[in-house]
Amino acid sequence: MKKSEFKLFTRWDAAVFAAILALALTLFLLGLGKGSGSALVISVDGKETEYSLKTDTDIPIESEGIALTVTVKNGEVWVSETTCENAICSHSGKISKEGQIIVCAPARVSIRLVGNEGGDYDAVAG
Amino acid sequence: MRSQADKLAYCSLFTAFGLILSYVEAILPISLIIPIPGFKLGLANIAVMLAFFMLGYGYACAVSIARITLSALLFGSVTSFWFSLAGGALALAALLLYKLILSRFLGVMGLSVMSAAMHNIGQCLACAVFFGHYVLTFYLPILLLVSLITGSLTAVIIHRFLKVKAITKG
Repeated sequence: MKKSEFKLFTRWDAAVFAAILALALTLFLLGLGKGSGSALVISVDGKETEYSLKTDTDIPIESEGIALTVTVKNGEVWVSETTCENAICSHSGKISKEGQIIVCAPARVSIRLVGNEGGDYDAVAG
Repeated sequence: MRSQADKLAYCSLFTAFGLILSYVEAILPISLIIPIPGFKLGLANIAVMLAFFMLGYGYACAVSIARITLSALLFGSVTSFWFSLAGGALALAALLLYKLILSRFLGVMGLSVMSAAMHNIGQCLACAVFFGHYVLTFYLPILLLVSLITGSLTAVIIHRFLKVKAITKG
């Protein structure tokens, strides 16, 4: 076994840290460019329904024996309650930007935000 | 040089070790402390790295793939299997790169952080296929930052192991 393999930290390791930091920063900045969403599309087992983001509301959903509540408030959307064991959807946090999505795979539910431009509804329907 | 039977025994040992570490991670309520979906300590990477340093690259691949398959069967799901496999594959690619070129430059920490980051990138890519590309810009940066910390942590543990191993000449 070569001796170099036992070194814990070399100055090249610092370069690896820097490269990963740079990658994280780049991806983060790419994400900032997105505009805020204007409408909410909830898909339950393939069937899509649209809601406005402007009215604050609680939307109850039931699918595949799982109940969840989607809350819309101040342009932000999140899953406030779920009976799902994994609760990944409620841990996903709040979404407010175009293209963001919350998924509950066991319930076959996805919640996504669409953008500002007119014609969104057609694009979604198509 | 150790015999083939020795290596095989060690390989199984590391797979079992990795499986235990996966189990510890699965039951550890880490998401309560750090609420990031997909966040993991990457402890199982310790077993793969040890296999790599003590047995060689091929054995590390065997340990990694066996560990991922078995842990998905025992306490995962079909989706988690694909996510882990994508992460594991990229981490193994990083390991190969290390073996071929980078071992002359990098220490254990660089390697560990690199494979932790690659693991997260792989998982996020698999995730992007299911959930849309937004995960790459919203989750991956956070996961990458976290991988710097968890990668360093596992590196220290691996380094300890290797030192002990060097003393006992096992």
